[in-house]
Amino acid sequence: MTTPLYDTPLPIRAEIGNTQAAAVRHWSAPGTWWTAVERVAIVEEVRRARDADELPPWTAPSSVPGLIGNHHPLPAVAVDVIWRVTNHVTTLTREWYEALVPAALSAGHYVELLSLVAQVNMVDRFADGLGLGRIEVGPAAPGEPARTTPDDAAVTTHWVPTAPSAAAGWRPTDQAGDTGLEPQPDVPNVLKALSLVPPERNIQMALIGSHYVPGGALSDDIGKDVWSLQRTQMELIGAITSAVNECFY
Amino acid sequence: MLKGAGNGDGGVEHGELLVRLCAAMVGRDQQVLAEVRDEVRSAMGAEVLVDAVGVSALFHLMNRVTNGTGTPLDPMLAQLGPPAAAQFGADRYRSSNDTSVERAEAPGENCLG
Repeated sequence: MTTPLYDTPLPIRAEIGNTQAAAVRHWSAPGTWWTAVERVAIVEEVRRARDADELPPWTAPSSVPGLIGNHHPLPAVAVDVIWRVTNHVTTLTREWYEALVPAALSAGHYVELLSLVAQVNMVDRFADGLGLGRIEVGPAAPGEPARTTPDDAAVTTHWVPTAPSAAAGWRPTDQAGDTGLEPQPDVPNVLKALSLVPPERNIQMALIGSHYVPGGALSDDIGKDVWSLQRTQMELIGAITSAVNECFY
Repeated sequence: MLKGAGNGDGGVEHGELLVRLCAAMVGRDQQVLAEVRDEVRSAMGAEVLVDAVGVSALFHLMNRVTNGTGTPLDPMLAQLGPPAAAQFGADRYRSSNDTSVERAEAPGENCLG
C-alpha cells in the first residue's frame, strides 16, 4: 500500500506521483558521495533558502552572522551552493564553478549536490504551484555512500566530468561492448550533465518522462498532445520558465 | 520578471494565461499564484493545471542542471540558437557566455533545458 503524496482532490497523474515518491525516497538514502544525513540536510537547506528573505547573489549565507548554525551537518561551501542555485540560478558561471571545484568540493560531490538541489526545487515548486503542502523528507536511511565514478568519465563537453551516454537509456559505452548492437547515437547534452553520478541521472530521466515528455521523444512529436497539454502549450511553458531562469541552453 | 515576453497568446491556446502561471510560480506572492491557479483551472481544467505546473516545475530542475554544469548547446540547437536567442533577449543571459556550442558531428538529437 502506498501513501498518497498529496492530500488533494486534484487529478495528479500516477506517473507524477510515482516518480516524485521515488525522488523523495532517494533524497533520504545514502548517495554516491553524500551521506543520507547530509542529503536530508541538503533538502532542508533548499527549503530554508527558498523561504528566507532573499540575499543578493554575492552574499554567501555562510558569511551572514547567525544565519547558519554552528553544528550544521553540511560544510559551509555546500550551504552557499544550495542558496545560490536555489535563489540565483541566473548567476551560475564557469568562474563560479571553477572556484568551487575541486578546491572546495569534488566534482562528484558538486554534481550530486546540484542534482539534489534541482530536484527539491522542482518537487517543491510543483507543490507550491498547486497550493499543496510540500512532501516531507523521510529520516536518513542507513548505509554508506557508494563513492563510485564511471570509469570513462572525463571533462569533455561540460564544465563537469561526464560519462558517454546512449539514446536507448543511459549506459556507459564500454558496457555495450559485446552486445553486437550498432553504436547508439549520443544523447542531448542536458541528459549527459549528471552522468558522473548515475543514480542522479536516473532520477532526472524519470522525472522528465513523467512531467514532460515520456520516453525521451523530445521533439519528434511536436504536433501531438502530451498528457492533457497541447505540445505547443508544453513548449511555451518550458520556454517561459527557462527565460525566467535565464537558461540559454 | 519576464524578459522579452510579448502580448497575447503568441499563437498558443491560452498562451497568455500559461505565461502568467509560470511567472506566478517563480514569484513569492501566494495571492497572485492562487488567483492565476484558479483562472487556469476554470479556463482549462484541473488536469491541465496539474500538467502545466508539472512542466514548469520540471524546467526549474532542468534549468538548474544546465546552468550549473555548463551544458553546451547541441548541434541542432546551435543552428537555431543565435537568431532565436536574439529575438527574445537570451543572448544577454549570463549563461549565454558559458554555453558553448558543441562541435559534435551527430546532428538531429532532441534537446530540452
